[in-house]
Amino acid sequence: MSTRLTFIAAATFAFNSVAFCNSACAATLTVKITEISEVAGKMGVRLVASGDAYSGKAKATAAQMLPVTSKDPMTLTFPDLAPGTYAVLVMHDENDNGKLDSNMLGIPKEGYGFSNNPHVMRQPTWDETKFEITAADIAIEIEIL
Amino acid sequence: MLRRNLLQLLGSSLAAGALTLPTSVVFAKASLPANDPLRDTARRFTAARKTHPFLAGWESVAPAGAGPVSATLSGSWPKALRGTLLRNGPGLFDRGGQRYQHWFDGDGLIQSWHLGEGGITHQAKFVNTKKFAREDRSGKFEVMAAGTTVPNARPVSGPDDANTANTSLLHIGGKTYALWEAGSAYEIDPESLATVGPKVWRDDLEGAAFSAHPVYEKDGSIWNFGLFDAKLIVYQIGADGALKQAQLIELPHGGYMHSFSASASKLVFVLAPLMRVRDAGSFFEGLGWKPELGSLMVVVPKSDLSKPRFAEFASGAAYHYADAWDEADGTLGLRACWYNSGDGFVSPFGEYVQGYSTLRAPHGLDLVEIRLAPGAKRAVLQKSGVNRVEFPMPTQLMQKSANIYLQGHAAHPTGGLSAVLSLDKNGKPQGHFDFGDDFVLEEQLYLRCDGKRYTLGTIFNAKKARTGLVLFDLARLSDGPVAQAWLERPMPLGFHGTFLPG
Repeated sequence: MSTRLTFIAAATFAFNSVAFCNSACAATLTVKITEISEVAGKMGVRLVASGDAYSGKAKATAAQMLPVTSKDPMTLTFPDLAPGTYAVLVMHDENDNGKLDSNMLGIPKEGYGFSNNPHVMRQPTWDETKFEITAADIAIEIEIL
Repeated sequence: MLRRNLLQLLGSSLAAGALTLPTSVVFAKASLPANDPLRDTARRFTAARKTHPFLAGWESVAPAGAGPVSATLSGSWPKALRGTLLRNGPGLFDRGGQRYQHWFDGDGLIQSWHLGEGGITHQAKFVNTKKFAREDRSGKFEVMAAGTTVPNARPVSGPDDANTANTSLLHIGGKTYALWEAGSAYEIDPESLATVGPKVWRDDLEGAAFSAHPVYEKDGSIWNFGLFDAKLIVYQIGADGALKQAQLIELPHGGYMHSFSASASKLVFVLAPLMRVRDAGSFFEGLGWKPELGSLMVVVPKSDLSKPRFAEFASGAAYHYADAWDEADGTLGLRACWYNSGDGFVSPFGEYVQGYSTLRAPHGLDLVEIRLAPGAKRAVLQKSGVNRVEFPMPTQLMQKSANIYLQGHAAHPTGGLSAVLSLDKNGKPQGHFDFGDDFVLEEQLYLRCDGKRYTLGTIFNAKKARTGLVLFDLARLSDGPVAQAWLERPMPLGFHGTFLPG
């Protein structure tokens, strides 16, 4: 019925110290996650600093996983970030089974979101999700779909 | 501990290819234009409606629904004909001063015509889908529609976020469902018309496409399909309402498909060469006609759903397939109401929805026969000579039907379907009745009562802007309806329905 829109997120996930710096140049990224629809499971948040890391070919910069205890917006921070270009990927593992469940057609059954909240009907690209961090602290908001 | 869990979470779930975004109703970002075309559409429709009563057929019903009211009866309604005709169709096109531009966009409105001892009662209620509930709370369009680019639409996580449940109804296993085609069936209460919720046939089918045109098997089970790009799910639901089987079939390419048919031994699907060629905008706006691809027939043996056979043939498209049959030499045949091109196919009556008073005629709408010989790589399409017909209703399943009833297009200003036609097994006309220029005849359902054969369906008086119900005795079709029931108001033109006896 339509064009398939598959996007590939990271298969690997690890901390990478390259993007961190000392406090003299460090910025803090605050991520506010909204539109949480289910009070269950865990919210996985991944910060990446390159297109390769976005597509899983390189290590992520940082990651956090937090229990979801409310539909209220969830806020978390990534401190000590070097200036650069980043993207954030979020997935809500609602049933806490360690994976993002999908149906037979591959359509996700659990929530997910990206920095910049791209309104696309295909794989969101690194370019569509990336944003700049300078020496100043920054806050972004990601809507769970 | 945290890191280990996170590795488990993302390492296994965000693995390559694990996450697929829906396509049929997930739409590209729409920037807000300086002049909102949806507000312009609303203004144009409101103005045109004042001078063109027939546009009432695409006018919104209030979100609260309509009725119940008693219809005014005439003619001879059989006393034994008791039950409820349920019909589905798009019924809400306007919110917050904006108006949709495509007929298929309106929220699903279930209309109930109850034929009881005390007369005929009509009521209508919207399916309370996730989309309807969300937009009813905000008072504005929130998500991209199937055929209209909604400015600043919120992104959706899957087809069900935009599911309007507006196309047809299915009753099986004692439950009634409002069907769309790109997402879940929505269960409703057939008496109160209240919404129960989306149906999950099986965990791995949650939110998957489920078409609006299931086909009944002789044992009371149904076959159905869901299409998502080049992936086809074939379902069989038992007469008890439980899933019997579901098979995923990978197709050579995508396309568009609204319905299918079945012979005694095979399921037959036809993909129209309508491909998504534009990234932005709504689904139907993004479709491009690709005749070089041809139409693709997918034949699936009922005995083994995992062994499809593919055959190409002339490019064209159909919303509705009729009967299908197996011939003695193994040839598979089926009939359909056929558009010769995508022009006029992707937005039927779109001009009226947008408040224009003239309509481009569709290219074709011929009754055709498509045959696939054993071992052949191409199917052969042959026109029957019966033109400008839609909503085919065969009276027999899994074989070449002895009769087909169809609605015929009239060459009047509404361009609607004003006539009912009867054809024999070979497509030879047996009778017809034309209500004339002022009427649009909607789908007529074939039913039996007290040994007699009837069709029952709704009709729209485009001149007086009223909606009614007509009953034909098929023994004397050409004499006109034997009974009628009329409301004092118009209801939006709908698509498909089902009759629940009792």
